[in-house]
Amino acid sequence: MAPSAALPLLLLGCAPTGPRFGLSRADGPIDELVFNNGAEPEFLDPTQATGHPDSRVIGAMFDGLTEYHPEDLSPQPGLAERWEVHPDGRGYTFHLRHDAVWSDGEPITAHDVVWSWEHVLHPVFLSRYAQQLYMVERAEPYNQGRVFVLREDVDGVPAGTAVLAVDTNLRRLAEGVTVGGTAVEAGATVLLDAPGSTTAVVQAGCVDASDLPALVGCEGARSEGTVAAEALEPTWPVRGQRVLSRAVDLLDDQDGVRASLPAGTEVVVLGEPGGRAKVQALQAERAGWVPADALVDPHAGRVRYRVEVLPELDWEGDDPPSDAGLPVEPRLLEVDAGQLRTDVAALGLRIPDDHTLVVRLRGTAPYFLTLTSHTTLRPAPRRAWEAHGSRWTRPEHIVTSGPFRLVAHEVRDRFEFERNEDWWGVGRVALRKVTAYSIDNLTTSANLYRAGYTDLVVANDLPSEFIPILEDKEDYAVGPSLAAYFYRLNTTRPELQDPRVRRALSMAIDRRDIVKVTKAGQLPASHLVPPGLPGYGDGVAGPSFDPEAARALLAEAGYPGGQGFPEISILYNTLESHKLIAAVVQAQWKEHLGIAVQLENREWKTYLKAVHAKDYDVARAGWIGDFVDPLTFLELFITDGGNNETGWSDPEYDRLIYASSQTPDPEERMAILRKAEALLNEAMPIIPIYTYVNYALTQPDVKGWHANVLDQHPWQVVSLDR
Amino acid sequence: MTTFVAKRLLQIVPLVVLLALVTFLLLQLAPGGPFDAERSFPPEIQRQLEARFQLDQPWYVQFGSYMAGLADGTLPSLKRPGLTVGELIGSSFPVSLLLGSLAMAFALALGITSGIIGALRQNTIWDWSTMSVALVGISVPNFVLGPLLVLCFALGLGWFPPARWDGPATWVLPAITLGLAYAAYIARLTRAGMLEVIRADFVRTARAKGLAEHVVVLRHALRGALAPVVTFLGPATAQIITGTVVIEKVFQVPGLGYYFVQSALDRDYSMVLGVVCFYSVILMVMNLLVDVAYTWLDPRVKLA
Repeated sequence: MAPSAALPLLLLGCAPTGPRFGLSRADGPIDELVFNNGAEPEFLDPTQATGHPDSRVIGAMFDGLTEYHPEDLSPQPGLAERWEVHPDGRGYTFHLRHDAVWSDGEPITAHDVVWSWEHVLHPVFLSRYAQQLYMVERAEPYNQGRVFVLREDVDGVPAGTAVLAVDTNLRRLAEGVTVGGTAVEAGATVLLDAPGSTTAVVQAGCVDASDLPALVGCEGARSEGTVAAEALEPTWPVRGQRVLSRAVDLLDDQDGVRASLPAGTEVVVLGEPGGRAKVQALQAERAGWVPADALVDPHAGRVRYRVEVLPELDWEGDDPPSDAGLPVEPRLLEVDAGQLRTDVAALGLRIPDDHTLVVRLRGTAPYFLTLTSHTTLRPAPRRAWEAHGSRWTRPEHIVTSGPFRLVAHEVRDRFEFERNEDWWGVGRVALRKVTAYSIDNLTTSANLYRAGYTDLVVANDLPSEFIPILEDKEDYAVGPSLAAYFYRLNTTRPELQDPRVRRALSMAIDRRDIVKVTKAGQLPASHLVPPGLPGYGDGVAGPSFDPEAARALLAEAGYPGGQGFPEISILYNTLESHKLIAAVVQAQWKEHLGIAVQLENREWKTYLKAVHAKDYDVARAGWIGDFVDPLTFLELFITDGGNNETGWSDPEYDRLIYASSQTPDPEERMAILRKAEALLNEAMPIIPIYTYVNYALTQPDVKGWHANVLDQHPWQVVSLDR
Repeated sequence: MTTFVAKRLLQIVPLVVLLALVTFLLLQLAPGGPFDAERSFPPEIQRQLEARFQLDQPWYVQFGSYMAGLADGTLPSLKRPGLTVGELIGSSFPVSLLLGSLAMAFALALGITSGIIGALRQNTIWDWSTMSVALVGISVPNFVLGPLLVLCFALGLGWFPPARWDGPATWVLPAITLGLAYAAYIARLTRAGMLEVIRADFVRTARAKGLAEHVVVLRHALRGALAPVVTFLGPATAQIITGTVVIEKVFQVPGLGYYFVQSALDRDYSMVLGVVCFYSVILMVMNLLVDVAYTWLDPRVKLA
């Protein structure tokens, strides 16, 4: 909306003359904090949330195994009162406190943690942030539906052994085909005769993009034919799913009827003691008991897998390193889908007793202890989910574990929280009540603070145009942020394939001009990783602004003076500041390199689609780190990384990132990551522009709310000194 | 009359479905989908999400199932799956209805009064000043007026809170901001209507009977002069009570207008369908009420 840019400028006219921007709240309540939390959160469920406003309220309602230190974010005891790192650095043993309880009175145990993490990882539960758990051994393939345990003995391999699927006879049609006179649409699932075969059995007439229910009861409708191999792409069925062969009632633990499920309902099996099965019904979003004989496996007898037998995990992390240079040949089996079940037991998680959790990781990850403070890893309440599905987060159903409990929630208006008097650390909590507004307009947020209605403005929740008049106010503070602004370069474009061209583009940008335009105090950056990470220092400086050398590089690459260089465009999503920055870059490239640049402004979703499809030359990008470690930025650009999007790939870079996860010594690990960043600077698939800053307003009488790079603020240490 | 109303009410159903269908097809043309995000997630999850909300089905299956879900109140918002479309509309519409009613009351009171004054004192300073104010009311967009009022009365004088929807003190500024443009229209329509009617025979008759001037104006002339205003009121009321995104942004009013814009940007298909259906029903009901009101305002109008 164009007019929004005019609003703050209007308000600049009323710049306050006092030492503070906000009116004093000295007569406000001494134990109630009021602030604006930003846009209405999408999810209050820790396993589902991805946004920043979501994480702020979730952090108050749900404990993690660890909790952020309010200043330096180092891991503090949370649900885990202590922990040990394993001798090989690739695992942790967490000891959970015995006095932690859910708000429904039940104790919080290691089983709750594992249930919640499985909920994040199992693909049917749709968590969009499952990558946060990928460091857990086998979590990534589990999230892709590729990790199972054997139901029965197969070729001498005992039941209960964990296996990893390496192939199936299931394929998706990349393009539509006609088989036996019947047209089958692209996206349909087809079966090969066997894994590795190129002959597909197409079940015409009942082919459906969602393979599972369609395969049930399709006998007799088969129409077989051969499909060209290039029309097929590999796919993995979501396993652990079964289908009800008849209508049954879903019973809760007291045998009360929770829901009536029709035949054909998809369910996920949680366990099968006796003749009953505990299942989660997906569409109905309820869990409960059904008769085990009502379940059919739609894949059994049809889908076959080639699986690799996984070795027993080294739970203590103290095995001597295996003889290097002698790779063990993996044992392969061919099994029917009916011989497999999805089981969390295959993951690197073990519960020796109710209050102990052993986590094995796929590599060394010193940052894992701060990840356990991350929203996604905070345990969600199993019983509330089972009873209410995704509606469990409403105030009337919600069950929480943290220092504050939800009292009221009005969509797009406010949240009200009260201190949880049953919380294990309640004695140290000063606030009795917290009110968090859901206001997404920055000017409105700043106005409310200015007029004395809120105690603080969270990071960057005010128009950057205000900054010049705020800079000398005593309630204003600015600090670095763990977030980078950069340009992606599409390295699949012929003219951008040459690293010399990419370096020339980067060296022709004077970032000081850019932060002069954006005016929000951002720090010009010549390399990706923001400064100030513990152990990493200021990172590895990239090439600096040097138009002379840039011209020389471009000439060397075959474009002297920009001659012959095709016109390229800078793609950005609609925002005034993106436009300003792109215009500066456009002018500088024109001036220093003599190349013509177009600006291409797209609405958010259209922009995202173009970037994912690599339908761009240069695209604006931003990345906010998830944990305090350079890896949260550097891992973006591994080959085929989900967020790489540049088409750039370098085996040496991949090797360095992998090596960093195999190095127990923290200093050596950082040295490897530095090498990776140096390589990134050399190849320049991205052009770093600046490091974001967090700017915020806080009434001086708010204590314990510290600026930090992740903008995380445990409310339990906040107090009001009025 | 009853047959007329029943017939019109029955027409609403196919019209709403048609509107929803056109909207839905237009949405399909917009690139991107509800689950696109800057941070990518595995294709397995993407596929599961699409299957859960039937985005992998042909558009007609999707449309049919969304409309059925809307009808029985079970359709979830794609953006906030824990809430149904009905619940989101149900919690935001009362806010918009209250704000719209306040704004409309303000607009009618101000608009009709200044329209009458303008007509009765035609071509005097009274006429010119009220009509100049009306011109300003029509010309100044609400995204300028709103912040100006906030600047002056909330941040400057401190009479009202600068934002939020929390009791009568917070209702004043948004209601004025929203109502002023409508007041301006109503003033000009009333003035024009009055000028036409005031010279009509039946008004001269009323005067000739020796009725007091205020009775002539209010009982006889005004009733005839309001027909154009009522025509305007039908769609205007439908519009004003279903929210305005700008007012809601400036004053943080949790009303319905936000969803008209944001759901489309989010590609929240189910929510877009919900607000379009809801708005079109209200609009058609309001137009029906206008037609019924004519029979009262002008005895010559007969509905059939």
